[in-house]
Amino acid sequence: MKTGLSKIGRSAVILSTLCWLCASLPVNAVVETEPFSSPELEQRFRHLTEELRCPKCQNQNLADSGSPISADLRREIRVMLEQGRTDADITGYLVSRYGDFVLYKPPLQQNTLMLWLAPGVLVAIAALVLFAVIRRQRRGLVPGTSAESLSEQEQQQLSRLFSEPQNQGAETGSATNGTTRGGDSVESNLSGQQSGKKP
Amino acid sequence: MNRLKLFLPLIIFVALAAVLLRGLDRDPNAMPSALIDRPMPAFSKPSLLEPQLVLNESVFKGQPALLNVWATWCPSCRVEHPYLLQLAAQGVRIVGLNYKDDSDAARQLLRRTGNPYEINIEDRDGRLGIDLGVFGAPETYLVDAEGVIRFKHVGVVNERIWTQIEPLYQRLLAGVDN
Repeated sequence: MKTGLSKIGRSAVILSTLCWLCASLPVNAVVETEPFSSPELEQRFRHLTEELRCPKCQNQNLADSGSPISADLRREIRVMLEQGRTDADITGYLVSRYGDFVLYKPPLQQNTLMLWLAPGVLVAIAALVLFAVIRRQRRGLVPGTSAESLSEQEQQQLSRLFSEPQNQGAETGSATNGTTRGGDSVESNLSGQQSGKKP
Repeated sequence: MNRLKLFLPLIIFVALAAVLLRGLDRDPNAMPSALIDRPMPAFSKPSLLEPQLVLNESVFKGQPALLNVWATWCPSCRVEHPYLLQLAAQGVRIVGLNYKDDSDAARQLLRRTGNPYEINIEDRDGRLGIDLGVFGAPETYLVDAEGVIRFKHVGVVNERIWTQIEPLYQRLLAGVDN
């Protein structure tokens, strides 16, 4: 089954398929045919169905879900809105039947305490750790992070090491070559110095 | 102290793994019913098999019963049907809630495959279902002799599930747990 599709042709097919898929997404959103008596009610309806979770689905709100129970609940919410009931009333109606599960924004209570406090606690811990690390670095307690921890001899050695590779790079005339060679010489230089220092 | 710090990532990892491992055993679909220990919601619905008869919540008074939410459009309901027949034969009182169904098809099905239900409530618009917090079928509730909901199971009732429900049912039957 070789159709002789070129690479470009194939990607064009994939691209157009994706375009079609994207184009058909809004069709999945449930269309309510009946209009509301006022635009304010429609606004509240939209808000409520976005905030409330479909009991049958794991992660879809009532507005997006196509399951029959969601359609029923949307109908109930519509009726209650037209009856002039408040948002809290309607939310309470659903919670008393389906539990806190239907709320995307769970209430602050004993079993949700962790959920609400954990982000704050974690941020606080992270801030403390960060603060401690910065303070230690400022004080120069972390070895090798402060210039003051080097002796005079070490300072001289350091500045020599920094200046050396650049000179060599200039000699060879090629930057890449120079750095590698410079790198080599730094290593040998360093080990030489260290072994010389030991006894 | 520094030694301990080295092990800190490991300790955090083990703690996290323990928490996540516990989560693996949990059923993400498990949804505790908001109606446990609450009375059956009030309703007024026709009986499926005798449409001229109007049923209300008092059908649950006097004897503990299973309330089974079912429909002909629900394949799992047919799976549990034989087991419900078996329970009914053992003397368990089962009240049916025919949920958002075609009543004729439901009556036909009961005639063809047997009727485990003592009474069947016809809930065509699903309003009673919403009051009960039903979000699919099958669902089964255990209602005590006072008409208070004591247990809810979502999904097929089989022998394994019944062994979970039966102790409570027996206690309710004996009137101990009232």
